Amino acid sequence: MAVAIKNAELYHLTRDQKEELSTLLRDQRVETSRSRSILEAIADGVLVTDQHGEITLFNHSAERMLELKRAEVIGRSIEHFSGLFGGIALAWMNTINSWIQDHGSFHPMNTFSEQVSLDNGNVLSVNLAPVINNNEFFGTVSVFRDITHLIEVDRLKSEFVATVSHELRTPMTSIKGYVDILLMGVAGELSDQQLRFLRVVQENTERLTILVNDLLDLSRIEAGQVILSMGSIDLSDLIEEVMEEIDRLTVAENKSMQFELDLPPDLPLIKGDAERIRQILINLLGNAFHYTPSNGNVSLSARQTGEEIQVDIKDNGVGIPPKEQERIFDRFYRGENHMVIATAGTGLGLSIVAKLINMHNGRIWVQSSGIEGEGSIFSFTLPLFTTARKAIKVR
Amino acid sequence: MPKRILIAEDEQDILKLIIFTLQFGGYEVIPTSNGEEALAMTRKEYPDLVLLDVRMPRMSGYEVCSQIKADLEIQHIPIVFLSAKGQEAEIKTGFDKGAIDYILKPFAPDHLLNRLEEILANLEAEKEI
Repeated sequence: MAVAIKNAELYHLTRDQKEELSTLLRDQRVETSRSRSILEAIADGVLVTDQHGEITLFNHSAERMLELKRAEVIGRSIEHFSGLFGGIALAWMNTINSWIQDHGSFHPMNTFSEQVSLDNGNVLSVNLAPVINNNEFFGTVSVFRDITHLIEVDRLKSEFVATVSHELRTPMTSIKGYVDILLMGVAGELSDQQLRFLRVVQENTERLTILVNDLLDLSRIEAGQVILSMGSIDLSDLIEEVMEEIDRLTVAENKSMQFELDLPPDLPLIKGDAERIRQILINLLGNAFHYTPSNGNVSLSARQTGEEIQVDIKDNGVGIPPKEQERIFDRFYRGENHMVIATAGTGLGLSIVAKLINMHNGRIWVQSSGIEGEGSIFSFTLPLFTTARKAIKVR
Repeated sequence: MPKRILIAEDEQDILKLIIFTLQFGGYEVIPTSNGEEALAMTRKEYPDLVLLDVRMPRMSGYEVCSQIKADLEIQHIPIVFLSAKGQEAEIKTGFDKGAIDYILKPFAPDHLLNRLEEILANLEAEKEI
C-alpha cells in the first residue's frame, strides 16, 4: 500500500516536471522564433555566422541589399559568401575570419565598421560585432545599411559649396583687382578721401575672400575630402617661416607687437601635413596678434610631452571669458569683446583649426581668465614622427 | 624688347584687368578669350609665357596646356594657370598637365607681376647655364 502511494507520488512528480520542462521548451522556442522574426523584419540587413563561420541567418533586407537569395548563403561558409563578392568586402570578411580563427583576437566590445561599394553602385555601411555569451564566442553579427542616398546628398552639398565659392570668386576677382590697381595709383592720382573709401572696399573684399575660402575649406573638411599628406616636419623651421608671414601682417596693419619664441634646439620631428600645420599656426598667431592691443606680447613655445609635442601660444590681450570658451570652436561663433568685433573675421578660423588638429590625432584647448590684459593661452598637441613603425601582428 | 605674354580669359572684365596689369608691368600682351583661340595664337605668336584660365568655353585651360606640352614646337613655353578653382585636386591637375605655376583668383595685381617676373627671370637664368 505504502509503495503504491509512493509510486503514484513519483508519477505525479515526473509528470509535473515533464510538463514544466515542455512549457519551458515551448516558451524558449516561441522566444527564439520571436527574436528571429524581429531580426527578419528589421529594415537593416543582418548576417549572422556561428562560431565556425557558417552563415545561420540572412534576413530579407540583406537579400534585397546584396541581391542574393538566402538559399544561396544559409548554411554556407563565410569564404563561400566572400567569393560571391569578388573581394570587394575584403576587410569585413577578413575580420570575421580572424575572429573565428582566433577567439582571442578581439575584445568583447570590439566592433568593426566599413563602407562597402557594391558593383551596382550602391554603398553599404557595415557594422560587425562578435556575439559573446558568458565569455564564450558564439559567432558574429553583421548589420548593414544602404547609405547610397546619404552619400549622394553629401556629394551634392560639397559640389554646391564648391560651385558657389567658384562663382563668388569670379566677381570678387574683378572687384579686388580694380580696387588694388586704383590704390596702387597707376590709374591716376587719388584724393585722401578717395583713398580712404577705397581702402574700406579693399578690406571688405579681403574679408569676403577669406569667408569664401574658409567656407569651402570647412565644407570639404566636414565632407572628409581633405586628405592630409603626412610627412616629417621640423616645427622650428616651419615656425620660422610662419613668423615671416606674421611679420608682414604687423607691417601691413601698422601695429607693433613683441613676439617671443621658445623652441628647444633638440625638438624632435613631428608627423603632419606641413601646409595644414602652417595654416593652424598662422590662424592661432593671427588671433593672438589681432586680439592683443598694440605693443603687447605674444609668445610661442613648444616642448615634448611623452609621444607628442605641445605648442602653447600665449598673449596678454583681451582674453576669453569662461562662458565663451566652450563656444569659440563652434562654426561662426565670435566673441563679444570690442576688439573681436572691430576685427574682420568669419568665426570659422578656430573651427577649422580644431578639425585639422583633430585629423592629426592632436588636441586643442584654451586657458583664459577672461580678464582683459591677462590674455589667453591656446595649446595644441601633434604626434611625434617615428621612423620605426610599431610592429603589426600578422596572423 | 619687352617679353610677350599670351592671356586666355573668357570674363571680359578680368581680361581687361590682366591686360592693364601686365602692360603696366612692361609686358606686351596677346589677349585671347577662349581655349581654342589661345592654342592657335600660341602656335602663331610664340609668346614668352602663357597665362591660362581653367574654365573657359571651347576647350578648357587644362586641355590647352596638355596640347601645348604635346607640341614640340611650343612645348618649351612656360604655362601659368590663373584660376578661381582652388581645390588641391584642381591645382594638382594643373601641375600634372605641365604648368610651372598656379595662381589663385582673386589675385593681387602686384603679386601677379612679381610671380611672373620671378618665373621669367628664373627661366632666363636657366638658359644662361
